[in-house]
Amino acid sequence: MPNKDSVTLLPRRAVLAMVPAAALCFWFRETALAADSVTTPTDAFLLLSKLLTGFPDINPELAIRLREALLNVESTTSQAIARLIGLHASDDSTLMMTARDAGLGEAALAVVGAWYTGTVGSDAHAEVVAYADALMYRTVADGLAPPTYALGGPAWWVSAPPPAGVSPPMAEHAQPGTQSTRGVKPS
Amino acid sequence: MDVRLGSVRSGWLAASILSCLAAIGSSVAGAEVGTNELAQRGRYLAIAGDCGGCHTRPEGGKAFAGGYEITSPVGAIYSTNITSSSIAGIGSYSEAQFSRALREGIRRDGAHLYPAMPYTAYAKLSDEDVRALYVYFTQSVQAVDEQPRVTRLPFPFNLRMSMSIWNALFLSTARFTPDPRRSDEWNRGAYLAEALEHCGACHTPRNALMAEQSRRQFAGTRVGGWYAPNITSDPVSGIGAWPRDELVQYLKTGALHGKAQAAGGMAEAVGDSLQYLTSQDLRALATYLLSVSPIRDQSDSRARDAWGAPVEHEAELRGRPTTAGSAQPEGNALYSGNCASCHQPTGAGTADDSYPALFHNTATGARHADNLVAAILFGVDREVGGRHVFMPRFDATSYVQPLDDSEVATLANYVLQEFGNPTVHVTIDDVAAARSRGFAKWLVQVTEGLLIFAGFALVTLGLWTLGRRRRAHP
Amino acid sequence: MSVRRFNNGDADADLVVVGSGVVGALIAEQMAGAQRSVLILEAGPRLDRAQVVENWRNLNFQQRVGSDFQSLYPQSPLATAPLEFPPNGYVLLTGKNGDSFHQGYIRAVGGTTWHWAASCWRHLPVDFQMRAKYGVGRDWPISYSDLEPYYCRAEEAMGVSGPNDPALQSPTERSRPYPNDMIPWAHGDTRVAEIVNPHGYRSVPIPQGRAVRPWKRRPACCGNNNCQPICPIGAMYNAIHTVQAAEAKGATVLAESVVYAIDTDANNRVTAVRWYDRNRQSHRATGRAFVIACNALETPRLLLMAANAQNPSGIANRSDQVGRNLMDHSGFHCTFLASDPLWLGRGPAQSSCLVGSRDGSFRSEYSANKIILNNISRVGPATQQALKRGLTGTALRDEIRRRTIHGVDLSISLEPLPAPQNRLTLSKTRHDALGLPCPDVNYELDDYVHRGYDAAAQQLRHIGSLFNAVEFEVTTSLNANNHMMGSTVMGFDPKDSVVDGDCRAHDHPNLWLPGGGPMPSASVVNSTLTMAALGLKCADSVQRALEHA
Repeated sequence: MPNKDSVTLLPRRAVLAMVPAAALCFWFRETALAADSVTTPTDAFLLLSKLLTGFPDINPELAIRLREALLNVESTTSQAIARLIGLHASDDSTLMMTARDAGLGEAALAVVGAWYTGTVGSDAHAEVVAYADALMYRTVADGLAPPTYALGGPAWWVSAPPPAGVSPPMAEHAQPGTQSTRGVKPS
Repeated sequence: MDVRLGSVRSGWLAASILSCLAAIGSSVAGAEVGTNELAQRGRYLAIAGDCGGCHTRPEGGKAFAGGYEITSPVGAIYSTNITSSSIAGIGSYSEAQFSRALREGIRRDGAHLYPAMPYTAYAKLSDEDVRALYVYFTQSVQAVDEQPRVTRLPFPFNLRMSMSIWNALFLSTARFTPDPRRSDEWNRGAYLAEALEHCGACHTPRNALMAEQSRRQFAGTRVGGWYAPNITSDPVSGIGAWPRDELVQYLKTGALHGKAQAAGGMAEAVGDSLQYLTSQDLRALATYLLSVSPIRDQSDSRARDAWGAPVEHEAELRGRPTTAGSAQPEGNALYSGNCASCHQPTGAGTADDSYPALFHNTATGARHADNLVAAILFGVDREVGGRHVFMPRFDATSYVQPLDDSEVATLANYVLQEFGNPTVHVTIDDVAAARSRGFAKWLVQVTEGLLIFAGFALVTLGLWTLGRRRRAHP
Repeated sequence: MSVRRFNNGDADADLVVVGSGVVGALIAEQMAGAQRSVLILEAGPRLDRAQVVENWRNLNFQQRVGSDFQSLYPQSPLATAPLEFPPNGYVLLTGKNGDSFHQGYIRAVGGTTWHWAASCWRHLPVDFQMRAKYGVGRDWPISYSDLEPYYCRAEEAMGVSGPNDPALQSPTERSRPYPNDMIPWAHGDTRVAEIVNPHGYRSVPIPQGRAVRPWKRRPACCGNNNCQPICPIGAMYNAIHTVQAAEAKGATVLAESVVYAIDTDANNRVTAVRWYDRNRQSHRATGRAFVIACNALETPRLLLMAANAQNPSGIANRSDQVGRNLMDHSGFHCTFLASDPLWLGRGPAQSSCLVGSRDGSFRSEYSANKIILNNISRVGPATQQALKRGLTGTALRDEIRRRTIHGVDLSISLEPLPAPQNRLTLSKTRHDALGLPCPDVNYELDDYVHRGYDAAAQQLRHIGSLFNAVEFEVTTSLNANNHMMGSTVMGFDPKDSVVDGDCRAHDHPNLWLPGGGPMPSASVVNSTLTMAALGLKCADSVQRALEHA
């Protein structure tokens, strides 16, 4: 029986049955999930996304678009995501540890990055799935709107910003040198 | 003069004067000389009657110096100088002459005023109030000796005498008579609405001869490019379901969260006049309005402020080439590119209501989409309580993005579908018509009236010619 | 008075203006208002604001964070403008510092003020006399007081909001108050000023081409923080506003009309310009007066391209200075995380700036600087940094928030000196879709700028310490600022300058070349207001010339 405190995306039996057969990933994605008749591939992806992003209330319509875009990027990514969905974890840190052990760390971060930036892939392969709905903007929505949207009427910005709600930055290990920039940064 | 009315009114007015002196501020301060009590009362009445709305040219005109141009298909009509100047204004009018102009629409030289001047409403003013206005205009208002442009309409619209026929049919010379069955407050509200604020001039439909239909008082009608809605007490077609306090707030500020915002002529009414009324007067006005006979339009299924909910289409729009600016723009793209910055992708507006929500909004929920189309074309411009509320225009003179008729129709239909009354539809012709009627004061109705009036003119001319012939051939 | 159009597509007007950016538009509006027939020829297309706004929202994350303010703007295939993502190579950059000259300008009706921060600075009086006062650079043939009335008119035309408290002004010499008082500061501006001002850095409000109340049909600024790619609501001054005003007064704008040749007569008066329309058909516009206002790259490009038998080294180029003395404010950035939350990104993109080092005797040795507090939302960079650290879940949410609300990006401008080898020439090998030569630009900076960088970097390190900064970084390579200047330099002597104090070409009595090109000194402040002022001075000159004709 699935532990009701954990997000179990699949019964363990199905996961174990699949692991040796990489070629079965595609089958897995569409068929094994159907073994659990409640969960569709999109639902499973939505659950994974909520866990990884830390946002329990993400847009299901966006999840469909984002998942499609991820699957379009590269076949290895799509397989990796399919396997990710099969992992068992109660929280994102545990999931990430398990994912990294299984060589799925990058895939997991790709999912996270896509949700937070609203863009899947990069350069010529970049696909935009969200702008205002990109989760990065939700982290500060109490004090900043996504650019191009007003947070209030004229001169709204003179009011005091909201409380920080996070600890101040700490010095990390020294970063080597300084970064150089190229291109146009007009002021 | 009715003693009871006098005592009611002097009580109200004393309170009004005391409490409104501060409120009025500097809106007409530049024109003031002298402060006797009658003049102060006259100043308040002039604001309540919104004389400045026509007699002061916007954007830099001197107070009450006239020259405000109303363009009509038959020519331009200019408001006159009613300052205390004896050269260019009414400084040498007697009180009787002033009263005749105000309440009968006849100038000192005997010529009729065009019905752009709402003398049919002012006809109800009491003698006391007319005196106060007379003292104010002839003694307090700063003289401006510049003659504004004179109205010269082409034949037959220059035959002012034909107004005498219209007046004979439609001008009631009765002064306002309070209803003894009603409270003092109600009577005060009725007097304000009918004699001073002349709400019916916009909100009451007119008959074929351009007179207000008293049986359909406040039932709503088109005014220039806008629609002055049904403000009877019907809870579905009118404002009957509005709590009195909310109606007062709307009259005072021109905005009511989750319901309505004043634009076009109503923005002027609030900005020029209603915002300066005392709280007591506003409550009286609201009391009266909420008692006006309900008039239901059977095709209204729901109050116009009760439509819609937040909805967004970001997931459809992102990452796909936009159709905004293309030959076939789609509604959601036009909305996102032109409107969502302020009104937000969900149509919810901003938390501080500076940019209102588009759902639960009478402009999008009404059965007539006129105000939605007009707001898009001409914007919203309202200065109340020192705050300037402003939505830019999107017509050909837009400094944001001029939209053509097809774009406006597509956009309006998107807004109606998504946030408003989805049974209402706007055609390209509707937009073109709204554009040509233009952002004009309610008086642009006069243009249609003038055509009727021309009919009278021709009749008059005919009778006069006939008269001459008869004299020539005894 | 309206422009005459002929059946073959040719035109005739009193004034022909090439380029519809802020400078061309202001001149056109004034002359149309003076009842002159005015034709504006713009190489690029008309833009739809909503389309550009949506293009920005549809742009991928990497390009937005990389400040790609060009890709969202449609271009005419026949009038290329520089692109960087990926580079389209329209301008070939050479020289030691060519890499710091990647300019992003727009070829469309309304020009480059579609995307700017609307910072409307005046030069200081001393900036007009760099040689006389500091022994470096070039002097202007006009003084600050000559230009001052035009600064006032430009501020009025653009609806500038600036501080009317002299203690906050830079410079203080002005004959009229700003049309609107300063844009009010957000918490970040206020807090930074509190911290740095006691140390002499002098943070002041930036005068801006926007207002917090409606201004002549433009809505009030709503602080949606998107100024530099595009203002979604038209509150920020964009020259398209002036183009529309000019059209309302009777000017005619022909978009997608690429001027490529300039005809002169025996007296070397300009008689006509020739342009290609979108179907590559050539047409001719005759006129009495001609203004070329295409920015300090495209104007010299056109002048050189239009070389004819009478003017073999290019139109207006007997001095050989056309295309030379090219300048842009050399820029670099300083980023850090402060110990206090500053919440930058609330309100318009740039509202305060440290001007303590705008001037001083050191300018005889090294470049002045200004340090802009970028009030641009840090969410993008914060997200990049947080994702790089492999974070997920609530740790990621918190880290993005932390980096956003504590993050600071300072943009520093240095002043280059005019040098003849910094120049635009015509490529012999690369041509655009019309077969016209693409521009080559050579750019080298000297120790004047490098020492200025060192001095600024030292100040920045001190500033960082005032904020207990962590992850303090200063970029080492210099970037462009889109403030092209100098390439049709103004001077008394026709042997070493291209135009006079009215931006009139020495070589052609009825040709004016206003804008950034005439500017002999860059100072450290954004050039647009000075360009607009020069444009209005030029307009007065054109008006007088037409009256005398």
